[in-house]
Amino acid sequence: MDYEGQKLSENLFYYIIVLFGSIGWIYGYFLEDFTYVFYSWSVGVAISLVLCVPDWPIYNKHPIKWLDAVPGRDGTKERETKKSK
Amino acid sequence: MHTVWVRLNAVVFFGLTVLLCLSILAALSKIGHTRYHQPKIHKLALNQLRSIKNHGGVDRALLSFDLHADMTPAFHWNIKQIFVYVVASYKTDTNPNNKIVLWDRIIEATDPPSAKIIKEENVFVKYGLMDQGAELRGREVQLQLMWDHMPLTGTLYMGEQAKDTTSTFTLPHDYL
Repeated sequence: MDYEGQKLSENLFYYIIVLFGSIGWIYGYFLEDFTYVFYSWSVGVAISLVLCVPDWPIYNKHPIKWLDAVPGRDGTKERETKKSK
Repeated sequence: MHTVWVRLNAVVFFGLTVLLCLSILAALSKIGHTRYHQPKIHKLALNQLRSIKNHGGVDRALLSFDLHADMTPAFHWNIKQIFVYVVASYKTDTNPNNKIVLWDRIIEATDPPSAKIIKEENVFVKYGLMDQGAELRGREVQLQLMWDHMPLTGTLYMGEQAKDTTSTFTLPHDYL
C-alpha cells in the first residue's frame, strides 16, 4: 500500500464508521432502542474491515518513485540524474 | 498504516472509540428526563398488619400493602431496568432516622408494557420490618416508593415518590 493509499484507507474507515454510527444513533433515538445504534455501528465496522484492511489494488495507484541508486564504490559512474519512469 | 495488522488495529480501535462517544451521547441525551416524566404513584398504603413480635430482643412487624404505580414514564432508550422498592421509615428514641426496605422488584426495559404498571393488592412484605432494638410498638411508620434507574450507559440515579403523597400508619402499642 502506497502513501496515498494509506491516506485514502484511513479516511474511508473514519467516515464509514462515523456515518454508520451517527445514522444508527439518530434512528435508535427516535425508535427508543439503543440496540439499533450497536447494530448500525457493527455494520460500519464490518464494512471498514473489509474495505480498509486488505491491500486492495485501489490503494496502490501511486507507487513511490525512489531516487536512483548512488554510484558504486569503484566510482566508474557519476551519480546519474533523475530519470523519469 | 503500512501493514494489515496496523490497519486492523486502527479500524478496531477507532470503531470502539466511536462506540464510546455514541454511548456518552446517549447518556447525555436523557439528562433532565425525570423533570418531565415522573412515574405516577396512585396508591401505596398499608393493607393489613399481620404481626408485631419480639424475636430475641428485636422487634419485627410483618404486614401487607397495596401498591398501584405506573412506572412507564421512567423508561427511556437508555434505561436497562428499574429497581423499585418500598421503604418504611420511622423514628425511635435511639435512632431518629430508620429506613427499611420491605419489598422490591426489578422491571426490565424489555418486559411487556403491562409489567411496567404495578397494580397489586395485599402484597406481603419480602423483608420484615425489623427494628434495631425493641422500640417498634406505637411508632408511626411512613411507606414510600423509591426506585433506581439503571441505565445502559451513564450513571445510576434514583427517584422517589413525592413526600406529600406518602401514607403513614401507626403500629399498635402491644405485640400481636
